[in-house]
Amino acid sequence: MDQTMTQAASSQDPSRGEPLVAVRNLTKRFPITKGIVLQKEVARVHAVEDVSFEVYPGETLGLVGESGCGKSTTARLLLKLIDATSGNIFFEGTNITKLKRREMRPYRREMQMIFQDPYASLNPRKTVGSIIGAPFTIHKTEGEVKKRVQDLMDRVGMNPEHYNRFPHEFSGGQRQRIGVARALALRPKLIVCDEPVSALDVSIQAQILNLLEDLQDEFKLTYVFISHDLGVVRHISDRIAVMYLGHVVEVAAADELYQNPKHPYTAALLSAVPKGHTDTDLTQRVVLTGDVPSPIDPPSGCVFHPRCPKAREVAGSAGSVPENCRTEFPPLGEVSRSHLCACWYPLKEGESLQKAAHA
Amino acid sequence: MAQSASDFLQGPSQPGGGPEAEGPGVVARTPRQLFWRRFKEDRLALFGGFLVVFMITVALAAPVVESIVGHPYDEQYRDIGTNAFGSPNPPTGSFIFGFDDLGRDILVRTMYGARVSLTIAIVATGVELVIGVFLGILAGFMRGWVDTIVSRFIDLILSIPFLLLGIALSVTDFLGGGEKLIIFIIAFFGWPYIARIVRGQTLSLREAQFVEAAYSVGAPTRWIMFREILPNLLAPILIYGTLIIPQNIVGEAALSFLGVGIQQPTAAWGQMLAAATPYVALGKAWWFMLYPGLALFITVLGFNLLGDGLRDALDPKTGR
Repeated sequence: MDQTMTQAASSQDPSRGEPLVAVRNLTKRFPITKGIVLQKEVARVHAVEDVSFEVYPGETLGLVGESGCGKSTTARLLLKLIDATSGNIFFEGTNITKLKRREMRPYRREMQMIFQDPYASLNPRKTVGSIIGAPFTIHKTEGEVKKRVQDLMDRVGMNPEHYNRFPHEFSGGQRQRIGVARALALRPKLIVCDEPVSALDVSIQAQILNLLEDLQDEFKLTYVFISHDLGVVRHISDRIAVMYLGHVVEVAAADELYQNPKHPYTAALLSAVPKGHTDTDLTQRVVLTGDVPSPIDPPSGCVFHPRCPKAREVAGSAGSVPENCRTEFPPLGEVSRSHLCACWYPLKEGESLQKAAHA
Repeated sequence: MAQSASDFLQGPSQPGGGPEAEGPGVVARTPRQLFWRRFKEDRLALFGGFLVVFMITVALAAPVVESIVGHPYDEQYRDIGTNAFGSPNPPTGSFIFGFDDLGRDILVRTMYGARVSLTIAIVATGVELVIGVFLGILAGFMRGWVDTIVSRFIDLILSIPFLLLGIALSVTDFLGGGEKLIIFIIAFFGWPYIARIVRGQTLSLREAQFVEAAYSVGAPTRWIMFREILPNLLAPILIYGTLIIPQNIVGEAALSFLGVGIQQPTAAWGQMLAAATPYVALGKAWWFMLYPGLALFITVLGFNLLGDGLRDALDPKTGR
C-alpha cells in the first residue's frame, strides 16, 4: 500500500476495515484558454478542490450538492475518465491516479458508471444486445455473450427478447435499465451512479432505486451515488458527503447528517427540502443570500464565508465575518464520532441556523 | 421532511414493467428486417432501385446484345452508317438507335458505355469513402497535430483545379491512362469532401456521453472510433456516398467528354456526347446525343432516388 494513503487517512474508520476507494486531496482545475493558435491560459475553473473521502465495501456513499459544485467531476475523476490535476485515488489500496489507459483496463472491470442521461449515454446506432454485450467483447470474457446479455436483461427487469431493439424504442426508465445492465455486466465492485434517476419520472425513479438496492444486496455492490435530490440520497445512502464549490464540507451517516447537520451550508441545504403538507415549516427555511460564487475565482478562506449566516453571527454584525473564515479553509475534521465537518464554527446539536441568521 | 419523500419513493417495484412490457406474441426483429420493412414501403426508392438494377443489367448484357444484333461495338459501318457528307445516319433496321459519326451502332456502344460509367463511378466512390472516412475519423477523434496535417492536406487538394489536373495527367503516362487514371483523378478530388464531413461529425460525436460510457467500460481507441463513432456516421456516409456515385458518373462523363482517360474505340458516354455535339449543334443526328444522354440521366436519377430511400430506411429516427 502506498504510504500517503495511510498517512492522510485521518478520517478512516478502523472498524470498517480497508476502504474500497480512498480519495486523497483530489483537485481538478480546468484551464480556460484564449486564442486559437497560441492557447494562452487565462484562468482556471476550480471544479474540485482538495477533496478527500473514502468508500467502504458494501456501502452507499451519497454525494450531494448544488449544480456545478463538482459532484460529477469527482465521479469522473474517480473512474479516471478525466485526469486529476493533483491528488491521489486508491482502489483497494493501489494508487490508480497515474495509470495509463492500458494499465487501467483491469481496474475498469471493477469500477463502472451509471450515467445521468439515459438518452445520451446509449449509442443510438447499436442494439441493446450489443450495448450490454460490449464489456464482454472488450474484455474478451469467456462464454456466450448473447446468453449472458439476456440473463442481465432479465435481471434488470427487461424483456430478453428485446435484445435486437435500438435504444430509441424504449422509454427513459427502460433505457436506464439498459445502463444498469451495462454497468453490471462485468460484476464490478464499485458502481458510480451519476444522478441515475434525475432524468426520470418520479414513479420510474422509485423502480430504478429499488432495482439498484436489490442489485446491491445480490451482488455485494458498493455505490457512490450522486444526486441533488436530497430525498433520494437519504433514501439510498449509508453515508453522505456534502459538496460546495468543489469542496467536501461535511461527511456523516445519512440519518446523522439529516438530523444533526454541523456545517451551516448543510443546514441551509436541508432546510430547503420541501417538508410535505405543513406550510408552517416555511418559516424555518434558511434562505442564503447571493449566488454561488464563480468557481473561476473562488472566495478566499472558507469558500462558503461570503454567504454563511453562522459566520455573520459569530462576527456579531451583518457585514463582517471572522478573520479565520476569510483567510483559511477549515480542515475537514471529526466533530463527533464518524461525523466530519469543514467549518471553524460548526453548529451545535439542536442549534438552529434560523436563529443564527436572525441574530 | 425527507422521510416523506423516501416513503413515496418506495412505491411498487415493477420489474419488467414500463410501457414496453408486451405480450409473448412480440417477436424481436433484427435491424435488417426493420430496414427492409421500411424500404419496401418507399415507392420512389424502389423505382430508383429498379433503375439502378436496370442499368447494371444493361451493362452486363452488353456483350450478349452485341452478339444478338451482330454489330461489334468497334465495327465501323461507314457505307450504311454515314451519308455522303459524313454525317451519321438515323435509326434503321437492326440499328435501332442509329449510327455514330464513324458508322458504329449506338445501341451497342451505349450499353458498353454503361460498363465504363458504372465501374468507374462505383470503384471511385468506394476508394473515396474508404480514404475519406478513415482520415476524417482519425482527424476528428485525435485532433491536435493529426487533425492539422489532414485538414491542411485537404485544403491543398481542394486548391488544385480538378479538370486541369485531369487534362494535364492525360497527356502523361501516369497510371497508364484509361480507367485507372479516371478513377484516380475522381477519387483524389472526392475524398476530401467526405473527410471534412466525417471529421466534423466525429468532433461532435467524440464528446457524446456514450463515448464516455465506452471509455468507462475500458474500450480501446480503435473500438471507440470504429465501433461507437463509425456506426453513427453511417447516415451521413450513405447520404454523401449515394450523392457521390451520380456525381462521379457525371465527373467521368465530363472527363471523357474532354478526352481524358477512355480512348477510342472503347465507348464512354461522355466521349459519345462529345462526338455528337457538332452534329446536334447543327440540328442533325439527335439520336447520337439522345441515347447516351438518356442513359446518363437514368443512371444518375436511379442512384439519387435509391440513395434517398436508403437514407430514410436506415435512419431509425426518420418518421414517415
